[in-house]
Amino acid sequence: MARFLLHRLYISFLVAITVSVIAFSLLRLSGDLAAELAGEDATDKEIAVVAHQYGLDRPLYVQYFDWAKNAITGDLGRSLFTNEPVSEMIFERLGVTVKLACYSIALGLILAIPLGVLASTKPNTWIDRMSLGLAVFGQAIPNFFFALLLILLFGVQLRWLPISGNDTFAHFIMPTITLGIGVMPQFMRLTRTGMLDVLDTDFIRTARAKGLNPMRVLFKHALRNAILPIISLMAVVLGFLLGGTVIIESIFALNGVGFLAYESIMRQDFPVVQSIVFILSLSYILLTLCSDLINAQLDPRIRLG
Amino acid sequence: MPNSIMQSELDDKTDEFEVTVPSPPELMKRRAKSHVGFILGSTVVMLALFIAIFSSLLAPFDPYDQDLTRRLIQPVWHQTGTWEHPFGTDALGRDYLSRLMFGSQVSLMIGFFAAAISAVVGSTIGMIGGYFGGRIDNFIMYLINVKLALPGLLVALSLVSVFGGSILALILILSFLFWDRYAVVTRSVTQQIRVNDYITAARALGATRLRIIAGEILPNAMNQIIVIASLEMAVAIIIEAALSFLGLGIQPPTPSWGLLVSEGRSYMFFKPYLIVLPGMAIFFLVIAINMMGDGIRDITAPEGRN
Repeated sequence: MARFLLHRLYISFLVAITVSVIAFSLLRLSGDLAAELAGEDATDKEIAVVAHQYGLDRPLYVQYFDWAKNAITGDLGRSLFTNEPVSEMIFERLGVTVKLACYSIALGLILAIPLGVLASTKPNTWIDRMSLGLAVFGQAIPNFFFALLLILLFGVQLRWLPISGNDTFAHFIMPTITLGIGVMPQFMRLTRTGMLDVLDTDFIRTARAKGLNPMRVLFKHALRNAILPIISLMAVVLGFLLGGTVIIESIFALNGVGFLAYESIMRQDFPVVQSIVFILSLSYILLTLCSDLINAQLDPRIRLG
Repeated sequence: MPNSIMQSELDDKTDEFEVTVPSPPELMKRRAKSHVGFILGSTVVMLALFIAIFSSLLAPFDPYDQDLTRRLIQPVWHQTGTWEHPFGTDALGRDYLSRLMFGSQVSLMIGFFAAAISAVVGSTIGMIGGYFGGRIDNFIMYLINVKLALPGLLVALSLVSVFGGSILALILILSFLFWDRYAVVTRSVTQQIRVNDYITAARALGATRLRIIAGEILPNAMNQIIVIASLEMAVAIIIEAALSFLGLGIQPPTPSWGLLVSEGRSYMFFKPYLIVLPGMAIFFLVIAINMMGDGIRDITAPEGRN
């Protein structure tokens, strides 16, 4: 286990360093940032002053190490536009995004697991087809379009739900439905194939032969064995959602990290963009690390193999 | 007997042997004919392709032609609609049907090339890692991990904001988003194949590594590459639409379906067709591509597997 852990940590560390370099260089590709900051009719001299003020006249690697050194202590610099500390801007908004991502995964699982289990017990029947149809729908509908349809129906026609903001739980309902339907198919397919494999094994046949309650066999004995890959997928989807809520947050005016990222990209506020990309990558690395360790703990073949 | 099957594969017409088992191509043809999803999906995709290629002939109007006296005309199923503009007109008086038809060009082109380029890049990386193993494989796993850790949509948005929303830039940026799945799959396929005797035999005959990878391993991984490509093409179409919807993709006045939804958004409460039509266009194209991809997977699966 110790060897597995060390190796896994070493890889994660390398990946984190690489990601930080990529995040750092992302918006710097865009050319002369100092000129943009100085304004349209700035003279060369003024541009040079601005560049010096922001430290943009130093070699890139010096700027990187400087940034990385501060980042370790939690100082991610200041926004070029609002001059607020970036770390505060992000952590203020992280709650909204994490909430939205968790609700969406919860909704996805609530739909996917019962449907996947039922579909696996009755392959090629109407219930299997129906859940497959729902999965196809969830995979194919562009989420921004689905969000607008929900707004038209629940926000405008029926006037049941608020269409923008993030003050109450009601504000999260439509965004959660949009994203939840989007992540449901992957969970459902994985549950269905996992269950199909497990239901074919001897211990399930034994459990059934003993005359145990069929529901108990299904949800306790079988599902428990099919759930491992779902845990890994949850980590991946959570990581994906943290960065994938950009569109939905901007449609519903949810003031989360995605919306902040979108605004910052639009105005080339690179300290904010690079920090968001870096923090989201780090959280993905940590999430997958945790899920790998959980799986290794549960399944000796992984940690010894 | 195995010899006779091989013979029939090589040449169908001069087949002198009695063959009871259908050859793989024959079997695939049979499966394709009875696979409803595949037939339906590929028909819609072909139709979209036809419209995209001939849109300048098929479209009733120039999609860029503005006429402010004819703005926001309702589609034909509405009381005030006419057959002159079956899908109505947009806020600048442009014929909506024509804009939708031209929009299919953008979606299909970006979807196809993004999927194809990422297939080439990803499969090459995956096969190299799987074939050579050891340090090279470790390095490739590390590359895949870095790619997975990055929030793809945000990176794409930042890159588009830097390089602009031209079709070429979008294709390259989306290709960068999708290579990892090909790499993961071809890597594991290659790992399974490389231990086979025919690879050893090829090596013993003095085949170069390039020849083994291109001639022996690639054909075996091809089915899976095509299946992934069709699914990634669908995702690429959705992401292009999403980027254009956010204003960071295709720039106006070029008609992209995502851009049409975004332009129609301010009028959607009174003219919902402005968002529903392009939205449904994306939806149906993506469903059709997915059905085709699932169909290819079922059709090319080795016998006895479902």
